[in-house]
Formats: sequence, structure tokens, C-alpha cells
Amino acid sequence: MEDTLTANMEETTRLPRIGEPAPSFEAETTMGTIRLEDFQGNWLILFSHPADFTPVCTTEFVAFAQMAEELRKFNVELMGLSIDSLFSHIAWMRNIEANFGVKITFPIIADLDRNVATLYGMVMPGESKTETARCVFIIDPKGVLRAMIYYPLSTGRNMGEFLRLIQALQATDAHGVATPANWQPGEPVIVPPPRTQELAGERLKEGYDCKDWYFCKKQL
Amino acid sequence: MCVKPDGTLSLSAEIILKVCDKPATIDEMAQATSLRSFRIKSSIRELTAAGLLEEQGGRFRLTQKGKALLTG
Repeated sequence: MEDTLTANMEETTRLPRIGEPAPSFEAETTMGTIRLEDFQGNWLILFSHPADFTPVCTTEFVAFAQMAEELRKFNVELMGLSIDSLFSHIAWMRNIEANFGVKITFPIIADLDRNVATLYGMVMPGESKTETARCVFIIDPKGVLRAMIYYPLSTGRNMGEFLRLIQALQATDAHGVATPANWQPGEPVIVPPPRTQELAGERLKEGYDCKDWYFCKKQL
Repeated sequence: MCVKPDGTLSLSAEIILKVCDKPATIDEMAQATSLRSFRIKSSIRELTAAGLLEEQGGRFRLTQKGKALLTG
């Protein structure tokens, strides 16, 4: 009995890993049956919220919806999830549009069987055993999980950070660079440090903006 | 849901089927409609399973059943 409880707990809290293929799934959504693979070729922000018809989640959905068009300019799609029914989702979407004048233009998974929540470790039993936490998974166009962010039930998310994060990942992919703290598009990026003594000796002569051989920046 | 319980098409399904009057790729469908590509992929799966679309070399086209439903 105790073993079963432990196994269930481990299954509930299992987390996917950055750099690995995002767990595949097929789910019922407010836009029909969707598979993770349907987003191949696009970046995807897969996010969970605790419950429909709750105030913090409502502010988040309004914010996500307002940012959706901007995200699409960067080839980014959104998909929400909670352990609620399709009918609850549909009623909430209609309520948000009526009360806040914002149309939700992305799908929301009705994860009543917790299949996706379990695959992605979205339930944090220490906070709630019946709701998903505020989880965010950034999945790249090849289906690889590139970033994960978790917020507690009480704290609404900062939408701008997700766009910044994806822009940073896109800069990394396109130019083979890293991005410094608080980086914003247009600012200098970090040139990966040399990995041999020979290259370290050459680095300072390569025309970058360097503080030292391991700390060089450049403008894209 | 592309095909409603009464057998008629949803608006998005109708849009996709009309584009597939000539064989079309998913990218071409996305360009010809205002639908996102993930949604087209999902709908194609359903429309193919319903026998309204068929794939040939990465292009999708209407079946006779699809044509009949579209023209009513």
C-alpha cells in the first residue's frame, strides 16, 4: 500500500527534462483533438492553470490572449491546460470575452484524466492535489523541451518574460551565442568561451568586446 | 469537431475542404485560410478519418464523399 502511494506520488511529481523531446500526447481541447506533434514547425508555449473561473487565472488568460498576436510574429503558438471539462473551458472563454472583451484564440486542453498533467509533472501535491500549478513549458519547432518555469497558485505570470525567453532561445539557435542576465533583443550577446588554451589565447584578438578571455560580447 | 452530429460541416472544416478542391499541402492550406497550421493538421486528421479528404504525396484532396458533402 505504501509502495503504491509512493509510486503514485512519484508519477504525479515527475518532471520532463530540458533538452529532451517533450512528452508526446493527444488531448481533447477547445479546438478539437490536438497532438503535440501538430505544433512541429512552431514554437509552443504549453501552460497550465489551476482552474477555470478563478481570478488570477482570468487575468493570465486575458494577458496571454492579448499577447498571442505578438507571439505569432515569432512563430510561437499557445496552448493552455487545466483539470477541467471542455464545457467549463468553453463557458469560461465565453465569460472572458463577455466581461473583458478579449477573445481567446488558442486551444485549451481539458485534462480531466490528468494524462498530460502527469506527463509534464504539472500537479504539485504540496500546494494542491486537485489542480495544476502555473507551469510553463517552452517547446521548440522540433519538439524539444527548451525551458520550464513554475509559479505557485497565488502568483500570476509575467507574459513578457516568455516572449523574452523565446527570443533569447531563437537568438541562440540562429547565431550560436548565449544571452546575459536581463537581455533584451537588440542588446549585445555573449560569445561562448573558448574551450582550449590555444583558442583562449586568440580570443582577445578576435575583435569582440571583451573584459577577459572568457567574457566577450558582440552585437548581432 | 469538423463534422457536426447532424452531418453538416463546421465552418473551419468547410474552409479546409474548399481549399482542397485542388490538391494542397498543409502550408498551402495555411496560406489560403486564416487557420493556424496546428489546427489544420488536427482537422485534416479528422476529415481524413471521416473519408472526406485523402492524402497523396503530402497533398490533400477532396474525396467524392467530401465533394458531395461540400456541394450539398
